[in-house]
Amino acid sequence: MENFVIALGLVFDPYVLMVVGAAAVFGLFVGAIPGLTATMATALLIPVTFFMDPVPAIGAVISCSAMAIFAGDIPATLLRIPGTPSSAAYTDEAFAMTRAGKPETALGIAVICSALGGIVGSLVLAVSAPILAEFALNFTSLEYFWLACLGLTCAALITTGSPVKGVVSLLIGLLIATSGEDIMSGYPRFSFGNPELAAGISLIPAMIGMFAVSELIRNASTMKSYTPPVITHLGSIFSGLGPILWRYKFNMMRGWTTGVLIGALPGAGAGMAAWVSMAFAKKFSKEPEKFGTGHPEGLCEATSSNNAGLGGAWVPALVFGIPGDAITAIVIGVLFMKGMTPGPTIFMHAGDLLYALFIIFFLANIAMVGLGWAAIRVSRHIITLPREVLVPVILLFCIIGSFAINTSLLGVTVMLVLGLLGYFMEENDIPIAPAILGIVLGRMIEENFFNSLAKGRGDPMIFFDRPISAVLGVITISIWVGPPLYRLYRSWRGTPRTA
Amino acid sequence: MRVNDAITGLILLVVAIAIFAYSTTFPQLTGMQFSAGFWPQTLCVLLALCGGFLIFSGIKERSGGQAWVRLDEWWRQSGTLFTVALVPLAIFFYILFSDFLGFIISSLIILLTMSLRFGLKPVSAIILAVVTTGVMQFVFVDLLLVQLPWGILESVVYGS
Repeated sequence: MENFVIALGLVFDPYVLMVVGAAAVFGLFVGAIPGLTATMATALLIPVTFFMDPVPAIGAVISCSAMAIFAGDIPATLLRIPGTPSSAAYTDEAFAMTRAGKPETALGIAVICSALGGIVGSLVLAVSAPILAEFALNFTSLEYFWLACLGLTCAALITTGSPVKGVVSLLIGLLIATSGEDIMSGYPRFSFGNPELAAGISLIPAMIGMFAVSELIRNASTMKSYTPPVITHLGSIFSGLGPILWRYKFNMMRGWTTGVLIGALPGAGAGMAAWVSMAFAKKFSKEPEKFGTGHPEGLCEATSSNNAGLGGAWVPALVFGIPGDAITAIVIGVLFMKGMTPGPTIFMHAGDLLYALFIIFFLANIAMVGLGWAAIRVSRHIITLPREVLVPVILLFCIIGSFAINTSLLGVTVMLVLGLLGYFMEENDIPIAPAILGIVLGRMIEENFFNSLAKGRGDPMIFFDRPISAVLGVITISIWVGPPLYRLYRSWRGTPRTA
Repeated sequence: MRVNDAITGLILLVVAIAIFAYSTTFPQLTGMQFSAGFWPQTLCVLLALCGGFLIFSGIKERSGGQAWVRLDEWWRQSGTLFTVALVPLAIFFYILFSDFLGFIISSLIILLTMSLRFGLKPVSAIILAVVTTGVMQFVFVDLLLVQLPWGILESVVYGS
């Protein structure tokens, strides 16, 4: 209770509220622009938050990401162009409502369901994280090693497309994380005599490069063919909304559950939560034939789900230090920068700060209704902003942001190299998110691996010595070897025998 | 630019072998069970295995008629190719010249070149360059106290 009172004081400080409000407006702005993602908005925000105290810094990330995910629904509804990948699952349905003359209803559903989903996600985070943290206090390096392995495995395998490419992305991230001083001997690996490289590759320029620069290259390639869209005048987004939301209340509840659970799964994130919820809505609907014609049922479930997923993703990030998605991977980087090591002990050492973050989660989602309404009113101006203005300005921001972290051009060089790498990877269906998770968790996984081996005096069976670590180890190894063995078995059964 | 998986796999294999070979030069301290190169070497072995798998699947795709390299339409249009290349070139320009020219001049050159190339009218491009540079200077230097380089303007600002 004492922590909660201190937290209230920390949040209701005019400076903190101003920062959180400004980050919300920034998130709405970036999220509403087609082609610029919520992750990019968060990555661009980090260089500015780097210079702030922990509460405004992390509060800014929370409000920015929540607003950006909602704002992605605006161009999805009005133009059939999802503002962020999280809106892609229901873009067709939302646009079908616009074609049916009901863009206001679709946007009203988006704003209210996003806010309610976000509040439920925050509630789950605030209730479950401290309980899980108490349980996780008994964890040693063994359990953390397996948890990180499990998280990274999920991140690599869940990604859409080829699992091998997911693993490739993860290994690239883990290899990038090996640069800098070796944990055991202190030897500067891959530094090539450069003292800056001996400190390791900084996370923020890496993320700005992979998420923002690669996106800018893609935007530049479509510059000539891009024509600014025309948007008609919108009426009130709240009229007639009550009966629709009441009718689909169970859909919304299922969306919340799906969102929180999938959001907490490393590598899955809000986008996947929306896809799964859309599929559930259609599968269990009494009127599946109406899907695709501007039916609000799927929209209610999926928009609830993606914002609930955001809160869910914070649970493993705060409790175990294992991010649920790319945005929480950035958050973990920020927590480390602010001297707050994520993990169960954070609840003992920085309880007041954590409560402050939970309060900001609630505030941001409540404010989403008002700010979202305002964003929709001015959406025609945001969406139609010319690319020839946006691309150079964002690029300059990326350069200065990468430079500012260590006041060094090495950051800008890292951003350039990883931006080109990120562009090549995405063009060839190699997902970026596992690489980022690899960069974030690389050192943690290596440290826990060697600490555990040292405890066991080199005996690898130490990894199965404690009950929880043994269970986690068996689950992880089953995921690694299970699918290939099953495939081998199927191909063996399917091969006709010649005797 | 999409390349056949076999090419991606080959690149990964070469990179994995190169990093593996380089990390064998890392020392092993006396009394320590593993050298500083053990962890990167383990990752390289896994990366090489993935590379091998992609080579195999790429060759299989290739027998199905897939090209080695598939370029988007804009790769064949020299104008658009330059427009796209301008993004990494602008960053490269900043890395090379910002120390000498300073942030303000580098920023003005990057913004003007890019916005003009992207099709903005000269007056609008000048306004965009000046306003953006001014805002960035104010936010990062005055508010966030980041030391952006002054370059050749240092003597003008602080006197020689």
